Amino acid sequence: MNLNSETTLVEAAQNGHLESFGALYERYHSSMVALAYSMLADRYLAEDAAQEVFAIACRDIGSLKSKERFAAWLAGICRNVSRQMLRANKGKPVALGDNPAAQNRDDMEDRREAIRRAVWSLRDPERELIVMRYFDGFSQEQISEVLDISSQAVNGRLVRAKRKIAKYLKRNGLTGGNYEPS
Amino acid sequence: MNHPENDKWLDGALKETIGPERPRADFEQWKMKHPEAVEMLTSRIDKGASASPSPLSIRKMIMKSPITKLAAAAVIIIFAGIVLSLLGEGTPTFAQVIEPILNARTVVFDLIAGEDETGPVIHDIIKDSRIRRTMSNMPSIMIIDLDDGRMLTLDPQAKGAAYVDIKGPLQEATRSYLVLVREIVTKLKDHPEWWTITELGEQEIDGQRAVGFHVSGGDQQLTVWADPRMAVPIRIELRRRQSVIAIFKNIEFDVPVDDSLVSMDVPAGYTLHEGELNLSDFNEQDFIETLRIWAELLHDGKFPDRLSAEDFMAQVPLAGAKIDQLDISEEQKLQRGMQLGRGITFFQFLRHQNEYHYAGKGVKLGDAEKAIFWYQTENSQNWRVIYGDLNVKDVTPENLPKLYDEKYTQMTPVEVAQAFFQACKDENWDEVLKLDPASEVPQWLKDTYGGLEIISIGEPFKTDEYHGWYVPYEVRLKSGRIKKWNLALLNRAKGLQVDGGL
Repeated sequence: MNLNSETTLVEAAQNGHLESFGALYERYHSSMVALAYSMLADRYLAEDAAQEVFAIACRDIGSLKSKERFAAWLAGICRNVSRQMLRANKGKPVALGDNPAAQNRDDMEDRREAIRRAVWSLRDPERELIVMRYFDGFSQEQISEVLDISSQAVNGRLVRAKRKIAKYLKRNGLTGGNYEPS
Repeated sequence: MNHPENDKWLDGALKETIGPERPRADFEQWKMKHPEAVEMLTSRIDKGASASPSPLSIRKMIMKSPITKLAAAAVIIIFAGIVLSLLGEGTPTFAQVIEPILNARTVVFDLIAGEDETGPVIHDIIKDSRIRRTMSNMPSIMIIDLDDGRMLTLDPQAKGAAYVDIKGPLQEATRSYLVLVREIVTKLKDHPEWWTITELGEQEIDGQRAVGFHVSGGDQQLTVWADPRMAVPIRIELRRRQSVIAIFKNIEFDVPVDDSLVSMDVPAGYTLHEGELNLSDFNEQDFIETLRIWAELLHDGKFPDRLSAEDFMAQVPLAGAKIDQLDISEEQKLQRGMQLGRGITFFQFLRHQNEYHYAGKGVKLGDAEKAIFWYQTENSQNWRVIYGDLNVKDVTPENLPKLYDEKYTQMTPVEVAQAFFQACKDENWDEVLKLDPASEVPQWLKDTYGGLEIISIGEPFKTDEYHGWYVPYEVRLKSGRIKKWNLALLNRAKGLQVDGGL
């Protein structure tokens, strides 16, 4: 990432330059959807959350002191918005087990559901990281920037999280041997 | 020790479960849904407020940039038009959906150049020979008059307007997409025997039920999704080989379009820039200045890793903003903005008409030793070579920078065809890549051509329509099917390369 260009964009946005804010929106929209999705477990709610995140950021960007930490600041807003939405949805991620189509799903959907459950059984920081990594293939650097942790920490956390997922899945009878990609 | 977290299946399973579809970032739509937030942000211009004092250059950029913005906008719009002109040779469709394409007087659609649907979106409203065009990554509006070779560019925020001359080759290249699609459809109608049509059944596309057709002919493919009730296309995807060239979405035919939307008159309240901007007369010097701007302003003094249509399109607004921050006069900013536009236009034409090679990755601006770009000029055997210090020299072919193995650069058309099919037979995909410009061998090619048996390679020939070679071949595919066709080869910097005919 070109830090200089980003701080320039943030500064310009703080001065009311809408195109600069647009560039930041384009840059971080996907990662905010991913982050919200890690908490809400619902793709459509996550997209709504991301819209709200940028509305708040647009209003409050003048309050951001550390321009180089824009991504982390945005992530903080995103977590708050997602929590509020979770509360509004009675505190329960909606995608797990509440899917009305679940009664008719096939084996493949069962396996996917098991994987979703494994991911959402992780602690928040690990789940955020896994979702960001696989939601849109974010690089370690991008994840590091948004989650405000070092690349090494991203790597270590990713390995641990995947190990937990694999164990969870093994316990539930799902291994590489019986998983067939669609 | 077994590390379950390293299992590739888990990576695949997680990706499939968590990330089947990328979210689309549509700032224009977001702006429309959040006018209060936008108002709060833009009102900061008037207040001159920010959390910390802003540099003078930023203030200057905000307050004094209408003309540079207009120039940058003009660049993108023209550029977007040229992106599509590379479709050139025909592509197909089918009887149920072609009538509206051929007969509609107005068409409205969103267009994405390339396959990244999160990238900039072009929105076109076409009425006869006029186009009203906007892009998702900038607020400007363009009215293009294809008959007159003229464009009106409007900046709704700064209330600025300017006319841009696009006469000449640019006028021809900036064709209406509708015309382009009509040409494609006409070719399909005229030569149905060239195409294979496959029904894709019914699916949900862009939020609505649609029936799909896949049409392929040579190395060109078209996927059309149509409203099953109305039999009109709602989405068209154009591919050449395995690369998506363009996606048309949200297509509507014969919708009412008010004349004022495509009027070439400056709207009330706008200030017209005196004099006409000129994008029509582009040359090598413009391109060199574009390379300089790209390296200096966007890549910390180094040349970019690659030169591509998509990168230019995505980064032109930022380049325009960077030019605005320079401590030069408004007139100089305007000239640099226009030069940027002409330089990109030069590259676009070069890309489709001449052989060229880019080797600027990692090279510092000012490095006189390293060649960063070379291209073959028309009417000359010599090449123009641009170095890292942006000096240019005429170089004979034998003295060009040696980037490639001479074994390949000196192969005849028959040798290339023989080597290519032999590599397919041996499933030696590394070798295939040496004879193919792609960065990786697509799976369909591996599946179809891997393990083939060569029956014959014929005498190469040329045609007026194609400036490469055709080599007739007959192979027996692993499936048992015998394929008899012509392999298309194009002369590139690393030798004759497979360009189609598979």
